[in-house]
Amino acid sequence: MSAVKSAAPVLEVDGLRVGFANEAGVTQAVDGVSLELGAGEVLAIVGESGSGKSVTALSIMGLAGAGARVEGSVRLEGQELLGAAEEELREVRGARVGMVFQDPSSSFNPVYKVGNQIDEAIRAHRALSAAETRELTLQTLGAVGVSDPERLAGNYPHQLSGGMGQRAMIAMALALEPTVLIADEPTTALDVTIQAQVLALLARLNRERDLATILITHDLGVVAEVADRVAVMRTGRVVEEGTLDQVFYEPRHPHTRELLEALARLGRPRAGTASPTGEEGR
Amino acid sequence: MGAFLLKRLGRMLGVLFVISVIVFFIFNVMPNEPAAQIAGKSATPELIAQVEETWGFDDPLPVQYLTVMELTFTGELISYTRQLDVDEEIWKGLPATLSLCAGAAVIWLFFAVLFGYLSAFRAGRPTDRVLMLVSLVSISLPIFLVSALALNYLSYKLELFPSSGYVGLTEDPLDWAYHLVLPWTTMAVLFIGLYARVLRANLLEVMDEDHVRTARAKGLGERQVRVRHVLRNALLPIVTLFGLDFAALIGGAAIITEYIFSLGGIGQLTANSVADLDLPPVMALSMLAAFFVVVFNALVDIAYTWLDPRIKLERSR
Amino acid sequence: MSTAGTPLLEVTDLVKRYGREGDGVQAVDGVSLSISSGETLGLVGESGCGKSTICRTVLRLERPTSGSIRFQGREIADLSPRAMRPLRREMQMVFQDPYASLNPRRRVGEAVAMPLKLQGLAGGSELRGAVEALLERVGMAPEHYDRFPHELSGGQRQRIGIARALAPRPKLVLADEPVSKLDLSIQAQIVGLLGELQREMGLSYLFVSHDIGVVRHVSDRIAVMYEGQIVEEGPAEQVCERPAHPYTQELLASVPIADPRRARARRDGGGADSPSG
Repeated sequence: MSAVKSAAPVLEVDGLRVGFANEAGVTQAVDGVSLELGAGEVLAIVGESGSGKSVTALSIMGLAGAGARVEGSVRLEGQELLGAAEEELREVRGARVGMVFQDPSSSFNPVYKVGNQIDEAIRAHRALSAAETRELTLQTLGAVGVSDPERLAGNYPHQLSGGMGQRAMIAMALALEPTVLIADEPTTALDVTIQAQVLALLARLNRERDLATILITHDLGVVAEVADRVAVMRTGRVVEEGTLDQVFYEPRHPHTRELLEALARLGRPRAGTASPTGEEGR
Repeated sequence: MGAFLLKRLGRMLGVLFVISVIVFFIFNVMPNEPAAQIAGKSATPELIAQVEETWGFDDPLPVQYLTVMELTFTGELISYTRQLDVDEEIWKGLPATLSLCAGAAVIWLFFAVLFGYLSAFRAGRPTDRVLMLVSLVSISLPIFLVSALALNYLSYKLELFPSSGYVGLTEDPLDWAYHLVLPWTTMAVLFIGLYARVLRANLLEVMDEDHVRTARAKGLGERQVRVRHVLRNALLPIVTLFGLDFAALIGGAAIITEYIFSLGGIGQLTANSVADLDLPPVMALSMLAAFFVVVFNALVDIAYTWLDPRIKLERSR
Repeated sequence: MSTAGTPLLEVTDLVKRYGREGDGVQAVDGVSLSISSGETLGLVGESGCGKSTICRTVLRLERPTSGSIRFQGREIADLSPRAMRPLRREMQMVFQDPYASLNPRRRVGEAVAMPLKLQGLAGGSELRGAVEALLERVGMAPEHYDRFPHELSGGQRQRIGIARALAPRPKLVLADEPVSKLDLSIQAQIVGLLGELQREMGLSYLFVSHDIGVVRHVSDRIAVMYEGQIVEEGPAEQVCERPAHPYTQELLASVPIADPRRARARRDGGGADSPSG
């Protein structure tokens, strides 16, 4: 992970508020969130279910849904995204901001082959020939650690294992070399050994491509492995924010402490306790 | 695939057998006098008795059944009332029925997709409400009413369209279409409403699925998302529905339309034969209808595996 | 903790195959394990290793292809469903998905009452009282009897699942990923609850999970499963601190460490326990 932080943040979220209307009125899923993502940095947004972390990520891309009322500001390299015209947003999606979702088996369209879906993502932004498009697809699949890109490209989503599916999803998000990657619980549905591989992959891509990454997760272990900075969310607000070490070793907000303590009660390895592998804490 | 086809073939034979037995049974339970029918109006009792013997009506029932079956499959069925060769009649009537059903199908599928699409993507708004109301009305209108009204106003009163008859496609394509416009439309009306509603429901469900969100996140245009990722997936159940409806239609559900417009297709043949209590054509037509249904069922299943890669023909157990 | 004498549950060479001879899948491929009274055996493995199949087979929700299952000294592998019925009181299961394992049309109190009614353990006027007592025991309020599942949170639903499992006062509880779908803080609460209940009621647990951290925390002994077989077994501390089998080692090395310094040390140190990537 890169520790260098360039001067201007790549992504700025300012006072983001997202509400959904229902019979009872309006539910504020996100209630005034401000964040910054520096170039090449990995920002982890951590929270329990209902904290609003996923809605925040989706709202950055304008994907919160037709029923969402979004207020505030989201600036990508200075360009305001909230309220921008559909054409502008479409250019941003996929080409400048790539997104990876939790479950590759449902996040791909089950009736098309994986390769074709990646091709589709490329063709939406570049005027390449069919052969060139496929070449890029295969290349990107190789870059995310797929040993037989052609075979995988010819498979349907339901034929892929969790790890392969997630690599394919990452490839699709990165094929056009975006500046920012948003990963929403990318490893939650995976086995722990595969999770470790995918996290290592994300860390490597972040380093090699200077890829600013927002990682949404509920798992503090995942955060500790890959994040540079952490934002802790609860009921639609950011309750704590800081560098990785700050948040883990000097948590200020009670909720952060609550989460860290829950780990201890579960016997999970954390600061100050022995890990399952027997290593000592600080 | 081989095992699948064999199974389906077996199933078809089973279905045909059961249907033939049921039809035969019904005929023999109903009060009718086939011998008298054949002998004609001014027949003497001796003549009737002679006919009975020739035709085997005094044989025990199982023997009669076998005879009918044999005649059906060797193509030598003769109808009781008109002494016509059943096979020939069916053959003559098929083109009209096929033209009617296929043409109506094209029309109804086109409009159903259009209406369903517009409704779903403007759900809750005026367009949606109007289209769904229209659909509801179209489903509720009995087909004979629509046909009769169309015939009366558009054909007799305004003389826009011919009122009856079928012109072969090969004879005169334009006239063929001209004669079929009204029947096509009245038949399509019912199905458009039904299919539009089903498609709308499917679209609304698919719209919320994860892969649609991914498609948008890739930067695809809204139209592309809607057609390639929502519509495409939502059409799947329509395929099944269509296969079954179409089979039933060819098999004879088009009876009313054919009858009202005097198209002379096999639906009309069925109607007339039943009215005359004429066993041979009814037997043959029933089996034909069953045959269509089984074949189309199998075709739909095969098409499904091709359209949805997750589905296999047989459960792998 | 563990008592001498006959183990409560003893499984020997259990095999469960799906599909035809030669063509099927050996979900469980010769597994042996045992659980003593009052003990917790943790079963760890990733998806597809067969751990859920073991649960279903031990509970006789499915028939084993071969092998022996002895419960309280009695062979149950080939018992008829009828003969199994009285035994069902003694062995219960808590399921993974609190959203899926409760009937959405029934009030949760009724779900808990059902085992009591079916086994004839309480009836009529006593029934409601017995259920409410159970609800309180798992940390819910008596009023929750009348709620529907969709009105409760994930943690609350899981408590209901536990109450239902405990209603017939079993000796053995199989918990199949009981906390995986819950938020961390709720996980901690449920794990704590399970521990309390074990001490109070003298329960034995088969705790199945893919999360070795949680398993270590709750188990006396741990068995590691991989592709239908148990590759390692032993006291919890030993398996976690001195893993013998390469798969166990890989499993442990893959668990993310919620401690940035140690995580960095592990990464930079490289060597045997860095996850491959």
